[in-house]
Amino acid sequence: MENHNLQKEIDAFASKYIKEIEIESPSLNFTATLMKKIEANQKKVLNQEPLISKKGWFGIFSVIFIVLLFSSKTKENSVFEMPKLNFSFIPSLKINQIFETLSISNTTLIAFLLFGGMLLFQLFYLKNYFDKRFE
Amino acid sequence: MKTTNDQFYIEKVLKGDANAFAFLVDSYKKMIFTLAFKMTKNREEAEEICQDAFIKAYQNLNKFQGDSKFSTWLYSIAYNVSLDAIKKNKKHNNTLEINEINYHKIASFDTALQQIEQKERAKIMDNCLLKLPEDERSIIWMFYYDELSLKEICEITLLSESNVKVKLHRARKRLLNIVETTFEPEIISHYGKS
Repeated sequence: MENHNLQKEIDAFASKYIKEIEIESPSLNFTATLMKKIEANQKKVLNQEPLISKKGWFGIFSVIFIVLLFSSKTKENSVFEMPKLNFSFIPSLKINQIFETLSISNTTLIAFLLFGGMLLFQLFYLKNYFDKRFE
Repeated sequence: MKTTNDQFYIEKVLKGDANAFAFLVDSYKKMIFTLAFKMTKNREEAEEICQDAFIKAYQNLNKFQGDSKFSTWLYSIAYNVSLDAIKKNKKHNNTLEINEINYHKIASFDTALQQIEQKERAKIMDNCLLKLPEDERSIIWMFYYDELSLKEICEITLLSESNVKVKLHRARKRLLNIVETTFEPEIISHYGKS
């Protein structure tokens, strides 16, 4: 009982004097600075673009569409029949021949290989560099 | 009243009005800053913590369920950010022994404090409070200054109720010990006698 009363006294003391302590205030431009930071963060989120942009998807679909259109136009078909696709026009484009006629000198080949190697090295090196910088 | 106001602004922010968040910041910045300052004892650090806490709150506002008060939710974010900051620079640790307190001592501290002007007294008590170990300091502040319930403190600190009670009990006693060492012993004995 004695101990309980003493606890009450201590509690009353703490309550009385802690309540008198003044609350602290952050700097005057705190809210403005914070809102700027939030805005900047938001822009960062907005700037994250998808791997394939809308234009990219449009391009991909239009190529597919054109290929299908060409192949289905070769024959008349009814609504109930599955369209019979004819891709025989593709070899006529002679894409293979482009590569067959292409000759690459050894110098160019070595230059490209070296360029590729350096690029890979840079990717690895730069990634480490930036990782450390933003730690 | 404040809770419904909070809800109004929270909904506005969630609908895309980022500026509505400024109202919430203005309502709670002092409360959050004071907690961060009491925990870290450093103004610049407290300001940084306060900013981080508000940014985290903004980013996770859609996760705020409304089961607890917005202030409690915000407090728990600020408390955790402060704890992380303290863990990073472990320079704040200080432990003091707890000595026996009796009625006579309490009465003499009370009389001595009453002789001092209120503003000065608040400063002295603030300095005493800052000498408490960090975990006790934050809990005693939430309990006595912010008048949070034990349940709310448990929610913020993720400690059990019995643990919070023990820490509060120790914090009160230690605070009185600090008051004792802060005052010149003669003054206390002088006022204590009267």
